[in-house]
Amino acid sequence: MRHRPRQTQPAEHPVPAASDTSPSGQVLALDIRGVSKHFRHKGKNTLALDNVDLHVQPGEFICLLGPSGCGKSTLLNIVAGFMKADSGTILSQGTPVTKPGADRCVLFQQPTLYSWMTTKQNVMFGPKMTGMDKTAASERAAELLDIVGLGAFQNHYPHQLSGGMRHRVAYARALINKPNILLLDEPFAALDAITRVSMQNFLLELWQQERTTILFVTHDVEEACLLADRVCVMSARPGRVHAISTVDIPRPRTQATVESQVFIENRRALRTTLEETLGQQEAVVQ
Amino acid sequence: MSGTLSNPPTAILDPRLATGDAKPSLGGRLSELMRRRYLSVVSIVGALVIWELIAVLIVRDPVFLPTPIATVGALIHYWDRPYPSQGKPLWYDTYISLIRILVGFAIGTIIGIIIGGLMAAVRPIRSIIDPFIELTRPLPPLAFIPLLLVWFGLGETPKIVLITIGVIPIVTVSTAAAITDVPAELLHAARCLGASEFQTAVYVQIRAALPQIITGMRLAMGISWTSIVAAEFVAATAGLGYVILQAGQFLRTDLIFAGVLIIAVLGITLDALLRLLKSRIDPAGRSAQ
Repeated sequence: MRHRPRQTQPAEHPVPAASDTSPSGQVLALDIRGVSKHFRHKGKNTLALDNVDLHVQPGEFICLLGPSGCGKSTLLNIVAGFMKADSGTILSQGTPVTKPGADRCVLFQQPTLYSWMTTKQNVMFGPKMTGMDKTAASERAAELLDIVGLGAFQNHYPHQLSGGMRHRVAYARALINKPNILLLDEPFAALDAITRVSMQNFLLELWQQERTTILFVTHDVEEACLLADRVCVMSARPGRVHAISTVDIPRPRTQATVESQVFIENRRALRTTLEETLGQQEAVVQ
Repeated sequence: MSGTLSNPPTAILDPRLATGDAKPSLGGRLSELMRRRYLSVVSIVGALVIWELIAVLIVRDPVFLPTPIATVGALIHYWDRPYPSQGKPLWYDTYISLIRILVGFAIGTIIGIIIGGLMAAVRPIRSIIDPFIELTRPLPPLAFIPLLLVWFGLGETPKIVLITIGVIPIVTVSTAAAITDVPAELLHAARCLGASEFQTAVYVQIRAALPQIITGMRLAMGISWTSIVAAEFVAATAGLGYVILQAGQFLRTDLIFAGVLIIAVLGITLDALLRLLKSRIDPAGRSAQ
């Protein structure tokens, strides 16, 4: 609620196209270096994140996988700029993160649409705030709504849409700003099984089409295995990067991928890695 | 950037959307309203009939209980004709009361929204103001009437101030609660979409709080009517409260009922206006109304 002059923040806008053309380029989409964070709760200090390093390539789909309490959501909140790290730095496309910005768009468990705006007005919220040309924004919004399959629902209000449709609107609303990276915080955890599968397919297709960088937080091994290029497995108390596994499954992936031999092998390997972190945790407790 | 994702939106199967008609026609909405309000209309008409029967058959004393027809008759008769003991027609008293209500309510609402907004925005301010709000909230505004008469005399000021002090705590509390209750994720989402802190506060936080603020205003409107009638009983030379008091002294029960009827109609109308405003700004609440 503090009044603050509107920032133009030119430095925080993603460098146009430079990274897309060179996948092996020097500029990482996201560069997390030595990030630590502790919380104080009832006089007790908990180390939520202990010296976390993570490098995300442009266009990469990376999952943060770990048991509850491993600090994966905390890390995402720090990357988003909602929370400050105690130490360490985070670079988004080479620019240090100090506060939330349109270059790092978070998608939550809830679609968080604005109930008083129509679908299209919701999608155009970002451009309106950043002062983008209205005609261009309107065209782009219509285009994005077509892409997410909601072209016919531009003038509906969120309460007139189903849960899955609202989530699709949220993706269109995020993509209109051309964010450098999408941060997804267990986005499908609150969905029913059918909608969840449908949204996973949707995300796979959307990502394959738009080639956005995605950082995806989940505690579901199968989901991580299906979606990600690389999975960053985290261990709890303190939250550390335990291992970074590459998921060696060819794309494009669909729900049918789940039944393939290569998927099953990858999932088994990933589950073993995850179980190692749980073993560590038990050892610490004893 | 071309082409549509192949899998169709899951929720096209949603039965609400199967009609493909987001806004029903006016006729459809009216008949829907009729169906929903049908029992209410029947109960009102039934109550009027019972009232008429009791007045005519059992009580049979128009001074003790006038019939509804006589009440409406008195209302129409004195609407533009001066009532003997006062020299002013009913429309004038209605106008006077309405102006007092609207001015007092407007001032109280503006002050309440400002204080409530400050309380939600700045924690120390909340801590400073909270005890006073908690202290004044259970006090009936009517307790202040004698004091206001001493301070402001017999003019319009004490009546307007009385309404204002009744409205302020209610609007303040509901505004502060409405603004604080906006989910943090809505605000976070705005920041991620490029909104500055100030833009987030104006376009998301305050905007999301408006429906609940209006609900607070509806409560405050109810209190305003209590305040104004009481104030006009004690010290006034015009207004609906004054008319009712005068009519009582002259045993004109029909005119008492007429005054009460006008207050009821105005109260319902003003509340309906606020409800209309709420449904205009809160599309999600429309169907739930």
